[in-house]
Amino acid sequence: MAEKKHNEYEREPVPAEAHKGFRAFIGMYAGEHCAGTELMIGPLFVAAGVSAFDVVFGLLLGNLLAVLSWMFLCAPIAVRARLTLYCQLEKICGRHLVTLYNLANGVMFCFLAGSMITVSATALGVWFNFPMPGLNDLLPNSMGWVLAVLAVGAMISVVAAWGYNTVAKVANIAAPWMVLVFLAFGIIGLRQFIEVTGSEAGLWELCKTAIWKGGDPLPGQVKFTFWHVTFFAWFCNMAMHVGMSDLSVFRFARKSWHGLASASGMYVGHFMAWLAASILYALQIHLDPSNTDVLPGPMAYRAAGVTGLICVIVAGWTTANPTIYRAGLAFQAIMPNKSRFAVTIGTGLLATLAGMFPAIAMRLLGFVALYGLLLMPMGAVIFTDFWIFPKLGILPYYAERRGLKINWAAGTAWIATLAVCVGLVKSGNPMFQLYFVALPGWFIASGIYIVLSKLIQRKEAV
Amino acid sequence: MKKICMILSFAALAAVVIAPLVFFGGQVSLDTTKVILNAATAVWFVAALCWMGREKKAEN
Repeated sequence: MAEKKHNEYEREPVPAEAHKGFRAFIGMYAGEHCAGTELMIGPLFVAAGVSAFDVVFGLLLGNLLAVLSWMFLCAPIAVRARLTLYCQLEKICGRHLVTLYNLANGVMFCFLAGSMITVSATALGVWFNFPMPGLNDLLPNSMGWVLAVLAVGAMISVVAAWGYNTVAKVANIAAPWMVLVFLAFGIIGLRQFIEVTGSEAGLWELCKTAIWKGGDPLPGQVKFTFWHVTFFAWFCNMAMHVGMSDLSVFRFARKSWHGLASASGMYVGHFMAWLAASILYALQIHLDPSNTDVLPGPMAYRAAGVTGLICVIVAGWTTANPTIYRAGLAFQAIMPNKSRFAVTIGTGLLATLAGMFPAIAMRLLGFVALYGLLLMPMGAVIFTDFWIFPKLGILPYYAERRGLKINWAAGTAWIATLAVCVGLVKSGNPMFQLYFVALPGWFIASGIYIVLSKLIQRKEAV
Repeated sequence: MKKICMILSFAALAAVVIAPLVFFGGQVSLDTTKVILNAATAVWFVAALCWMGREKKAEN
């Protein structure tokens, strides 16, 4: 099934008979965004010293902005063009630039999958009791950890290469259960907080004084304010909405407002699950301030026993599986002569190696921000090409029209935008921290693309 | 059989939420809650396999 369906309409617009209604996307988004990453991100908010108001209202606003980005930036183009992201990019940017995009995306997918292997491996640490990495560890700290990651990663890789469909079925079954287990984490954590603090002052007071206390972040962590939380929630899936990766999803939507379905993922996963996971970590620190390790396995086990451990393993696995598969697809586009099986295995092993180094998992907030930033310029290029170029009298789909392998205007916009954004981050100006810089970056990418396209096309006309 | 599995699986999902809520209300201990969660998890995965036969849509 998977091979054929993965290839369906990959090089042509999705026909009307294949369009889907709103409900088709709700479960997909809820399941995809309530996953292994949530078990790391929630606790890392606490480590970043968020306050209760900042985290709750920052997430409400940031997730709303993400949903609106899907609804008004990504979905409208998706339902009109009805093409995959790669097809759309190739028409605009040319095959060689798409290859570069695939490479960048594949590498980032690898590292993301690696961090999910890390998450699953922490569950093994509970059973086999080997030392696991701390919050500020960048390197593996025990042979037991290395072996656990190797075992988990190898299993995930083989299954991703051989039995994608089977794990996809398991993920389908696990998704509703996993969402409710996350909810259970939060409810149990709250009750435990009430018991250990003896608080009778009310839930919000408990949140402000014991759970999300604000103040200084833990050593080595960036302090998160309301705007950090807001922008993180907005941009953590930037690659998908502003970056237009979900063109590939919403090309099947009947109407562009079906982008609203992303709210199921945002408010189930990026609100409820993040808060629930953060409650568990806050409780851990409250009970032992010296125990700052962000290890989903032990946290989940303390709250929900074996069910919690199974949730951690399944959450990490069901996130890593499609991620490794996608990375494999991206790399195979660069190496079309290699079998998908071999490329997926190789990708999985690369992800496993990455997973041994806790740096990515422990710095997941920054990694996710970087991931979105890396791919954002191409989303700006797609948006500009589709909506703005016709209004300015500039030809869209330039690479396709001229048979180009590289649209230099798009490529330069991508690289130059990243260079400018790196410069802005390195300037040290708090307004241009990694979590915020993608916003001005989008406009910079769009502006560069317009100017260069105009120059190139005018020169050609002369 | 399929209908029984559906009923059992939804009951299991309900237990995953209800048990922690009862714990939150102070009616049961954490250990009891964990036992209920474990049982509910086992029931869900076994029962859901009987009727959730649709394949997950391949992600792009």
